[in-house]
Amino acid sequence: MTAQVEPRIHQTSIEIPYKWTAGEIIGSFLGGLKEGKIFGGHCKNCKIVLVPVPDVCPHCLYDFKVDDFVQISGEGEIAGFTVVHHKLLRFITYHGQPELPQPPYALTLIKLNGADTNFLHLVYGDDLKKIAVGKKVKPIWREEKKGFLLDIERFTII
Amino acid sequence: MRKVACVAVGQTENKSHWPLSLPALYKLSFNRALEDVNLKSKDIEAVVFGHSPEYFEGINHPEKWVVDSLGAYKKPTFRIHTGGTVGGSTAIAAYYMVASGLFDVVLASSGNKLNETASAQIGLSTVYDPIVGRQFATGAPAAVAVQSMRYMDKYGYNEDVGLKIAVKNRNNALNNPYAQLKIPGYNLEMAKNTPMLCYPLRLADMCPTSDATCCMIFAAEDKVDKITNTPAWVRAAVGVSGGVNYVDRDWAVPIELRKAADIAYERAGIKEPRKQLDVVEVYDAFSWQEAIWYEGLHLCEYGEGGKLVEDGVTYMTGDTPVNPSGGVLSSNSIGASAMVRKAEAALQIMDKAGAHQVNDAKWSLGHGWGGAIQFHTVMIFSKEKP
Repeated sequence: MTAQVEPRIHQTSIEIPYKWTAGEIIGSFLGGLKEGKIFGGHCKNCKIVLVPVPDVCPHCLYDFKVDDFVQISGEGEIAGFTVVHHKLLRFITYHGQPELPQPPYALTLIKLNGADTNFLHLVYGDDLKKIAVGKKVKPIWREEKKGFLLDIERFTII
Repeated sequence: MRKVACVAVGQTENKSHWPLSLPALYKLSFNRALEDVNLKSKDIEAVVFGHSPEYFEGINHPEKWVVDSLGAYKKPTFRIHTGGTVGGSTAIAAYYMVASGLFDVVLASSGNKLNETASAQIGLSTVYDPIVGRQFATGAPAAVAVQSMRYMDKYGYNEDVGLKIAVKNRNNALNNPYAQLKIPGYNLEMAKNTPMLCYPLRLADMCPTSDATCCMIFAAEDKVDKITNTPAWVRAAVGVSGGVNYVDRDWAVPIELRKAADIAYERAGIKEPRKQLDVVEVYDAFSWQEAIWYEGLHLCEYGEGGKLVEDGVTYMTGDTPVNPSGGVLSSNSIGASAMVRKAEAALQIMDKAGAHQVNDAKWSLGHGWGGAIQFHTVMIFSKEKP
């Protein structure tokens, strides 16, 4: 007779460091954030402005150049949102980037003025009381900027 | 089933592709595939995307990030993910889509940026059984060392055979603009002087770490003529897998590859592979595996793989050159590698292999390997239309 054990859990954790090449285009977009500027990429063929700027225009496969960058104000309008309430919904921590706030916060799609894309960012604090589709917003920047999307701390309702 | 040809191939160099992002690296091989054929992105109806395990780069569903740069916007697209042989499975899936009659022109693309992780071997260590398999965290080299050792012992070969394969392929790599390891004058003495990593594998017996992507475009018979004058007709496309329970089997005997080859040769009507195939590209991530794959592909009997190298049969000057490109031993991005074997086999048929072209290649075979020893893909191309 072999020893019987009750089913048990086999528990370990895994840590794998990564670095991701942003490349010239996304890298320059992040470089703009570090200086407190939001850049869009203007596709000359499609006559649209994309934020963040991808390497390639998905419509016409144009390879964006830094010369195609246009600065936009960062002001815009809420196109959609959800309010995250439960702490368990904050699943993962990326070491090295600015920290996310604790819930509640609103994941918000923002139609930035001068751009043709909905930009995903955060609205939280007192603004959650009046958040609604169509409200005008502007960015609140962090004092210390490192070249991350979260250099913009959040958007606030104007 | 419809007749299908590979009409275009694009590859990037194998190296550290700083500062290209992953989407930009895919776009590069896509641009090159479209370069000398009469084809535009809009002519491609569907996109099959490969890419190997998420663990390599820490990006889940990389297709979400990448496929727009392959012209997949508003097109049917899906991802294939079969580990090391993913590039092969991706090409096979694209072939199926055209052969079935559902689509006329389909793009297959696969790659990786292995320089983005601290080591691909960390990710590879997690492929083993999580409870009883992966505690030893060996990655691929130690597992393949066991396989190589078993092969040496079983058939009585000495260490030099693996190193000779490495020297052969690295010298071939000197003629391939996309290869990473290019060491002028590389010889057995130099290979013998590299550090022993896990017996019998020295550093020379190992592949390098590369960033690379590859694209292949497949087209249906009635579209081929409009696209290119130099199609490589697909005569067979087969993937075979064994179980991951390899405890009760002999690692030196590639039974799954034998099965894949048997099916492929039957479909292609090949009776004597060694005689009929003009050039072969195998997935030689580790030197000894090339000898084992010869046996799986019926280029020789079991136990004779090492002898094939010693007799010079698989050198550029031999009857059946294997890995004119320099093989995986000279370039390994993993994600692109199994596709590059097929792409190189197709290029030989198209007469577009440049300095490593095999004269008058009429039949070629590209192989892919993944898992421990048990996942294999095989594609056969011919110059003559079936």
